Amino acid sequence: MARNEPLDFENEDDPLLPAPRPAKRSKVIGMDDLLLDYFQSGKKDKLKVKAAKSKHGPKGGYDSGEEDDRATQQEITVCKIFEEVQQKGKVMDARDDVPPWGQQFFRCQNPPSNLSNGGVENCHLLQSFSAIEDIGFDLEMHQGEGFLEGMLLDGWLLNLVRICGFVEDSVASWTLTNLLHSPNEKLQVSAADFWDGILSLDEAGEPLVNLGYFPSYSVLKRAMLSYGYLFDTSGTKASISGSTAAGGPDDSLPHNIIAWLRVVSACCKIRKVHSIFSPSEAEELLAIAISLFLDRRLEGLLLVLGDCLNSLILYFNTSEWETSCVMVAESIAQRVTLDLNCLRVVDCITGTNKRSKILRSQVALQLLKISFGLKVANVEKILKLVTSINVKEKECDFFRLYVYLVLMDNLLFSSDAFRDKTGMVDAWRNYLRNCSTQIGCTDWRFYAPKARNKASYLLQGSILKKSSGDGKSCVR
Amino acid sequence: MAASHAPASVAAATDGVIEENVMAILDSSGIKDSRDLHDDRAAFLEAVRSTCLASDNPSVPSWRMYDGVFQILQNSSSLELAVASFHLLTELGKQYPRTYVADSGGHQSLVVVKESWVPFLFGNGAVSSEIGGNVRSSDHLFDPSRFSLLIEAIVEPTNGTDDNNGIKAIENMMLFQYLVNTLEADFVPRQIATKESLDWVIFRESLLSMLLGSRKLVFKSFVKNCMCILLNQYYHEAKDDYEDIIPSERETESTSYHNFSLNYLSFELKKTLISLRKLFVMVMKLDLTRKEADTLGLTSRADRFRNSIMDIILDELTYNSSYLSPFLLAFVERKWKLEIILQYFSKYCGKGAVRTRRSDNSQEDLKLENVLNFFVTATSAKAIVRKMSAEIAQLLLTHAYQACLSAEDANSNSADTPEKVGATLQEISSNFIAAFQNIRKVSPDIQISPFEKEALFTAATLVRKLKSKERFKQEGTPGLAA
Repeated sequence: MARNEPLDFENEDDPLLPAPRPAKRSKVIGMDDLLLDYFQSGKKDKLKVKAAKSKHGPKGGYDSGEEDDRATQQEITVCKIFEEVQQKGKVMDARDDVPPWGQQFFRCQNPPSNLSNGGVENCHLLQSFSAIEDIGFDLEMHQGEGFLEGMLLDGWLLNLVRICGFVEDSVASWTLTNLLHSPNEKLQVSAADFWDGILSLDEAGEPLVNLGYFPSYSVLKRAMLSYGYLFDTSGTKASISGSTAAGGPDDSLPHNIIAWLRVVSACCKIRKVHSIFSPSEAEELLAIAISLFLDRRLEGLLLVLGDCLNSLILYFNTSEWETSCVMVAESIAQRVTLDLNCLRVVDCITGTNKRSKILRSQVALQLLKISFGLKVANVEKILKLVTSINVKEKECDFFRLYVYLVLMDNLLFSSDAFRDKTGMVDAWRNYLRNCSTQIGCTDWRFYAPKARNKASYLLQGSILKKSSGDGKSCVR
Repeated sequence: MAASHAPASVAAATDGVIEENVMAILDSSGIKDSRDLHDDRAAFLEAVRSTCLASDNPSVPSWRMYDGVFQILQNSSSLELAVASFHLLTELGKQYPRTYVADSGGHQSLVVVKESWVPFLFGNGAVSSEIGGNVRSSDHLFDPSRFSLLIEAIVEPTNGTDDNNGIKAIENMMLFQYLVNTLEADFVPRQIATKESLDWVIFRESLLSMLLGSRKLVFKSFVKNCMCILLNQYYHEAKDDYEDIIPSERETESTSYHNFSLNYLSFELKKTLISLRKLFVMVMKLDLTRKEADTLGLTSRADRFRNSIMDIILDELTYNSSYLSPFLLAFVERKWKLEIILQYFSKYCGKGAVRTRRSDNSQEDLKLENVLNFFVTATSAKAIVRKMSAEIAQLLLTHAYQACLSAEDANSNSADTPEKVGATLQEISSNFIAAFQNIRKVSPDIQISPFEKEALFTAATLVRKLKSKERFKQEGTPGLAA
C-alpha cells in the first residue's frame, strides 16, 4: 500500500495533485517533519554554541552578539524592501492586467412575434385519424397541437416517421419552429433529436426519410437574429468584452443555442444527397460558430461547438474550400478583438484535420494582416514587421509581442504551406532566439516573462520539428 | 476505425525533450497568482494538443502528460479547463487507442497496447509503477472503490454553496463520462474481435470486467446507485417545473451559473445519463457473454461469481413498482429495454421453470408476440391482470411496443422481424390495440396515460398505413402516398 502513495515532498511540487486524503498513516514520519526537526535542532545547537561561546569568552561573545543583531536587522530591512517591491509589483500587475478572453455577440433578444404553428393541427396525420376506425378510447385528439407535442416529446413521432419514411411539410416546419424558438427545454431537445434522426443516411447512403421541407439558411439566420446575435461587424468590437460582462442581463441569453448548433450539424450530414446551404451561406454559419467560442457563457459547450465547427468545415466541396476558407478567416478576423480573444479563436480551431489546420493558419494570417493595417496578406512582409520589433526598447509592448508570437507560429506551422521556405523559417527561429535571450530574466515588466517563456517554448518546438523532419529524411 | 497509429519508436528519440518542454509549462516556480495558474494550465492543454494531435508527426503523449491532463480534469475548479481537458482526453483516446482491432488478411485480431496509459488502477498498483518505468504517484487514478465513490458523489452531490457554483458536481459528471468512454473504447473492439469464436479470456481481461470483478466494488449497491441517478432525472425535472412556476424565487436562489449562463448542470446530467445507459448495456453484454462462456465451460474459478445486472435491475423494479415508469422512460436502449420487459413478464407469466446457473438455455425465451397473446382475449387478460396490476401491464406493453418500433425503419425489410418480437409490425400493432381493449374490459375504470394514448394513436395509424400499403401491393399499383 504505502509504496503507491506519493511521498510528501512530491505533493508540494505538483499543484495539480489532489489534496491528500485524510491519511491514516500520520504516524509515519514525513520528509518535512525530518527537515523541520533538523532545522529546529540546528537552531538549538547554534544557540547552545553561542551560549557556550558567551560563557567561555565574554568579550568575543559580546562582539558576536552585536554582529548577530546587525545581521538580523539587515535581514529585516531587506525583507521589508522585498515586500514593498512585491506589493508594487502586484499593484502594477493589477493595473496592467489584460482581461481574460470573452466577447459577447448577443444583445437583447427579440423573440419573433408572429410564431404561427403553420396550422399543424390541420395536418394530415391528425386529420386522417379522426376519420378512421374507433378504437374505443378517447385519445383527446381535439387538443391538436398539444397532442402532437406529446408525440414529439415521447419519441412516438420519430418512430412513426421513420417507419412511414415520410414527413408532412407542416409537421416538419412545426418541429423546427419548436426547436428554434420554444422556451421549453425538453421540447427543444426532443425536436433536435427528431431532426437528428430524420436527417440521416442509411448504410446505402440513401436518406432514411423523404423530406419535402428542410431547415434553410434564412430560417436559421432569422432565429439567430431573434436571439440577438450581432451580424454587423462594426458594432461588435465595441461590445463589452471580458468577464465583467458575464453578469449581463439574463434576457440576452440564447436558450435555444444548443438545439440550433445541433440542427446545423445535422444539416451538414446529408450534403451528399441534398445541399441545404450554398457555399456562401455555409461560410457565414461557420463564422458564426467560431465566434460563439468567444462567449464566456457558452464555455461549457466546447464539444457541441467543436462538433458543429467540424461538420461545417467538412461540408464544403474540395473545390470550394480554398476560397471559402479565406472568406471565413477574413470575416472572423474582422469580428474578433486583437487580445486574448484572437488567441482563443486560434486555439479553438483544433487543427486535427487538414482543413482545420489550413483554416487555423489562415485565421492567424488575416488577424496579423488587420493588425498591421495591410491591404494584402503578404506573409513575408508580416514576418518582417513582426521580427523588427525590438525587445530591448523601453516602450516595447510585450503583450502585443506575445500575441504576435502565437499568431505567427500558427501561421507558419499549422499548415505545411511554409514548411519548405527555409529562409522564412530560419528568420523566424532567429527572432525567437533573440526574444528568449534578450528579454532578461529579471525583466518583470508586464507580459515580458510570458513573452520570453513563449518564445523559448516555440523555439524548442520548432527545433524539434526540424530535427525530427531531418531524422525522417535520413531514414528514407 | 483506429486512425493512424503513430509508431512509438519514431518519435521516441525526441519524446523526452518534447515532454520536458511541455511539462515545463506547468512549472509553478516564480510569481503565481491563481490567474497565472489558470493560464498555465490552459497553455499546457493547448501544448499537449498541438504536439500530440495537431502536429505533422504527432507523438504519443507520455504518462506524465496524460497524468497532467487528467489531474486538470479532476481539480481545476474551472469549467473552461474541465471542458477543455475532457475534450483533449477524448481525442487522445481516439487517436491512440489502447485496444483496437487489426485486420490482418481478412482475419480480425485484437491488439492491446499494454503500456498505454489508462485512468484506472487495478490490483495492488504494481502494474502501473513497473510499466511507467519509475515509481509515480497514482492517487489521481481510479481504482474500483474510487469508481463507486464517484457514483455515490453523483447521486448525492454535496451542497452547491461550498463549492464553486456546483463546478465539482460538473467535474464529477465529466469524469464519469470519460471513464465510461474509456471502458467502452476497450470493450467494443473485444466484441468485434470475438464475433466469430467466443474467447472468454479476451473479455475477462477487459477493463470493465476487471473493474466489476474487483472485491473493492460492491456490485449490487453500485447498480442501485446507478439506478438512482437514472430515476432521479425525473425528480430534477419535476423540480424544474416547480421552479418555472415561481421564476423570481428561482433567480434569487440559484447560484450564478444559472443566472448568466445556460444550465450546465442539467446539460451535463443529460450526457451523464447517456453514459450511464452505455455502461448498463455494456455490463449486460458482458453478462451475456459470461453466461455463454459458463455453458461452454470456459470460465474458471478465477472468475469471481457476480450477480447479473439484469437480475438486480429486475429485483429492484419488482419490489418497487413505482420505479418502473421512470426507469423505462429513462432507459431507451431498445433491445435491452425489451429484454427487461420480457423478463419481467416471464416472472409473472412464465412456465415457472427454475433457472439455474448452467442450464437455462433449455427453454424457449419469451417473445413480444407471446406476451401480446396473453392479452388476446378478455379471459386470458384477466388472468394476467390478477397477477400484476392492469396499470403495470399497460405500461410494460406500451414500452415494449415502442422498443419494437425503434428497431424498424422504412427501408428495413418487413419480412424479417427483429429478434424477441416474433411477428410482423402490423400484427404486433393490431394485437397491441386489442390488448388494451381487453384490459379495459377486465378493469373498466382504468386510466390511460398520455404516453399510452400516443402509443395507441401510433399503433392505429400504422395499422392503417400498412394495410393500405398491402392493398397497393396486391393491386399492383406502384408507389405509396401517405
